[in-house]
Amino acid sequence: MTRVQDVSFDAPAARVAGLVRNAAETVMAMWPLGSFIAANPARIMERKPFAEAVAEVGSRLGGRGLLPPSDYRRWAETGLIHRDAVRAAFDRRVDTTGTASIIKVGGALVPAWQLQWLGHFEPAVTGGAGVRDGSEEALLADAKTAAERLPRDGRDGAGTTTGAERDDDAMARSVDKLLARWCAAYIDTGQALWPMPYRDLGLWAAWRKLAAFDPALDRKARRALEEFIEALPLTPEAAIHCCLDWLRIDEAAWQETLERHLLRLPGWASYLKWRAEQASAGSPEAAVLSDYLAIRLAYTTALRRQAMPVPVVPAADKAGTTAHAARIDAVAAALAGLARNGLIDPASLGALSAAEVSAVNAALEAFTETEQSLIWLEAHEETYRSGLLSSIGAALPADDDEPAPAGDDGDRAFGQLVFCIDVRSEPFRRNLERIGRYETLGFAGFFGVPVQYTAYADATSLDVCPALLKPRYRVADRPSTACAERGGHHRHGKDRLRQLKKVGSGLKGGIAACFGFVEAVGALFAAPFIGKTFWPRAYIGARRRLAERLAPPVTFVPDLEPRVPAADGGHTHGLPYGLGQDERVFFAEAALSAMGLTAGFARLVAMVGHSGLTENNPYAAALDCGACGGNPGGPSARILAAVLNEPTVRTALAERGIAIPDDTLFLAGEHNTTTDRITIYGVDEVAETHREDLARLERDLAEARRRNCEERRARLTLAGAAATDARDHALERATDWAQVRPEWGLARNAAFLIGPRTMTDRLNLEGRTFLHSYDWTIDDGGKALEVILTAPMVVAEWINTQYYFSTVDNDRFGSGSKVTHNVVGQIGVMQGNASDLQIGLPQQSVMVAHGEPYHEPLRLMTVCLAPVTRVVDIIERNPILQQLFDHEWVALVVIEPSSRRFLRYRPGGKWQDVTPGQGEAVSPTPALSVREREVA
Amino acid sequence: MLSQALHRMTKIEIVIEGEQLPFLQDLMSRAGVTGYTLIRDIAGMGHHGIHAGRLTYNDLGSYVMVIAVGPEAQIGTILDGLRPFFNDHRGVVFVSETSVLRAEYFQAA
Repeated sequence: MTRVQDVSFDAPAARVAGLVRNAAETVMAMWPLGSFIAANPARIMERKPFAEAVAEVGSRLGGRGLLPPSDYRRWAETGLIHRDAVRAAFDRRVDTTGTASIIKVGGALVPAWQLQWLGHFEPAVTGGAGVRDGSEEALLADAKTAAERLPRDGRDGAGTTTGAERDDDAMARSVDKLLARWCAAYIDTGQALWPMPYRDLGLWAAWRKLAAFDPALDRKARRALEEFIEALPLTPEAAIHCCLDWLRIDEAAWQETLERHLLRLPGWASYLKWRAEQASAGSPEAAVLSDYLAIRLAYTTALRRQAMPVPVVPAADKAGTTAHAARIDAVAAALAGLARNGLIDPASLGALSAAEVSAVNAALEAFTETEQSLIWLEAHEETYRSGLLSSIGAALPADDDEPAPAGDDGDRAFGQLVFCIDVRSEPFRRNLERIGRYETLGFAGFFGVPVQYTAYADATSLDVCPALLKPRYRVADRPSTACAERGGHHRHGKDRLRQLKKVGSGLKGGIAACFGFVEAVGALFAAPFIGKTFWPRAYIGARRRLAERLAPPVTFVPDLEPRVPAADGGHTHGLPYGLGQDERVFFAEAALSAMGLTAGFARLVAMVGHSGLTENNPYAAALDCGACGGNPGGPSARILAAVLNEPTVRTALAERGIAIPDDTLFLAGEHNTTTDRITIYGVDEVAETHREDLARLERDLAEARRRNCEERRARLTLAGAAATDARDHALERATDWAQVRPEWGLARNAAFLIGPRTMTDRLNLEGRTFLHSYDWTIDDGGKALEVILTAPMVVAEWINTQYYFSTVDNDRFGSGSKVTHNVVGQIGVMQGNASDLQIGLPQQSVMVAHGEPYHEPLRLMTVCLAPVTRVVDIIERNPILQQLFDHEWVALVVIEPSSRRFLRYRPGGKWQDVTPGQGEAVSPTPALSVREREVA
Repeated sequence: MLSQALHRMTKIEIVIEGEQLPFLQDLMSRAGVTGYTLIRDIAGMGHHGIHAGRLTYNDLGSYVMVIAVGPEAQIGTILDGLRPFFNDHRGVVFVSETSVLRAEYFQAA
């Protein structure tokens, strides 16, 4: 094969390509909306310890790394953060023994740390606890009066930016605006009727040809730009080189400059990074980030050299802060605290000088908001974690009450159901287990089979595996043997529907056709509009029935036979079609051993994937299965169930020590997390022998659904409140096309638990925990545990950090309000018509109301029941785990099976005993007043 | 003589994180390298301690090794791209003299 060599890709261009790659690490690749993948938007910061990283998020990535202290104080006042935990975190982070910084106030000498505790923390953690009598009220009033003597300083109001900085900012804003529009035109994946010309040449080459026609620029600017572009090289990296030279930027600062440019519009940069990683090597698209940076730098250079005039883009309004009032409150709290603890005479408050008040304020301000928030965060985490660990400790069965292996059928479970590790599985599993003798397990929702899946008669394929993996096989559906005939009807119907849709949208959007189309059939569109608005459930039902009439429902089974596929225009990416016998056995064994299900099989074992249900929601995929690449989990469940039902696979598994009884039937299902309905596939084709078991299962699933809807309803208020049945309430939310919050998704996730269900089955974990089944006694060498820690736990960390950052700074790391979302190119959303592409989760996914978080942003805590030596070995051979644990992005607690001791991993490979009730997870509050008196 | 039947070429061996493979593949392609050998899931020991080989369900966290052969200028271009890259990324690179039987096989048309 010959290839046209890119002649101008020389040494300097290659160097720039390396720098662009480095700079690109500041943004996380962003998947298109259709397969929304939760990932840490600040992933580059994982190279540093968390505390250091979040303090730098502002300067490095431009955003908050922590919630403001005021949010935590509000939570502390409601009891969500315990006082003891706050004090313990404070003592850990602040040197309370030294006397380095002493303030003279009211005739007493007070160390700065004491003022900081009293001013920033104490009021929130004692608020409402004690009865406020008259003297307390008087004290607070006196303290406030004294604090009001604090002089205003010049920092409020007036900005500190210089004229040159303002010019730079204005220039960068106009470049942003121009770029956002070019990106939107370039990335379109089928929404636009008029695609951008020259797209196949790549973004840089296409822009070079088109930039001079940009209607956003006036004629003079267009002509100037055209001349300027002529002078730039064709290779984007060479153009970047030229511009950086022209801008006289020192070579040592090139990478930083490129990073700054990428971070001006982090959303677009993130999405282009994803595009580049999907492209084949050497194609124009693979260098799209260089293209993007070349355009940015070309505009910047042209503007800077005054080759073109700066178009005016108004600056966003920045609200003035009321910092002064907040300072007064903190000073007043500190003064009242001093008086209350007898450190100063309450009577002296009235005589405090402005200088003394200023000194108190200075001590308080020396303690930055970041430092405060870190303490609050650790206390918040500790409050949740110590509660969780204590309940696990209390519920952990003693060795002798391990259930005996199933002997006769009387002990056998009604069924075993394997759910995704997703936090939404836990409440459903708990509710089902309490109805009858069901065993439930947790496993990654792609069930260990990394495939590209094609639904029957569908034109598109989905990569139904985690973002960490590339699919290795292709599997398509086929109608089951019993449905073979109806399969043809189904295919025809589906084709017809597709054609209708295509013609409809063509006529609706066509420049000339749309007028006639609207005249002729426009009125027909009123029916869906009215239906969706006033009778959403009836409308959705009717729509489904109509689709079923056109394409009658058929039972599908995955077609696993390996074969050479028909020519498909290169869509297979070289993936083999089907699974050979060896692969089937490998995947079956890997999945069963990793979930710890190798004996004691019930008559029915169901693999249950999951997906969400929502209308008119660009973020629908965020409710689907993360382990399936933001796709529904049903297909993966069907593949594993089909493999496990094969007699030849069972024979091979028996040779490997996994004996599956002949009467065990594997089923597949899908849990709809919005409505809590579980659909079991192929029920019509279940043999007579298992009909009764199936009927019982379906009855119990229906009851579990009712109970879980009831439980979830309490957390989802407002819309649908009129429904008396909780199931209707859930359905209403799922079908309402104006509903911005069909369900809470994975909000409030906080822990990842690895162990047998007996470790957790007595607990109500409130849907906050990922649950991965694991049995250390059958995992020789720790291979299964290594898989769990390096894959599902990493995915959970991506989800956890996505929710974390979307909550702490929804403007920068989330996607803002859904109400003003504008879907662009079928890949993302913008706010307005030329904004950055929004990354992360919408405000409605993590907030109850603007500025009021529902999600509690806590770092993930992994708890694992396994010998600690095994865990140590695994961490030692996996740098990804060292980074997460040593940098404290994830906390790790290992429960040693032999001693039942809880051991917390500390950076550098140390272990701390945190056994509930015995350890030092949260040290008791030191007697504050005694120590304070000593110092005073 | 053995050397008379052979052509001098330059060989580059690169070990990087699996996640960085697309960057490297593009860099090689643009430098004009027409082929390479790819070994996935490799194990070894380096500045960051021992690295285990294959992770069953995580392609991104495992290391890969790429071996490419070409004229000195092409390999030089790859090195130019890798020099800044390794300031911020893990991995190693080895360059050596080598000989091949069919020179035309290793040169871009």
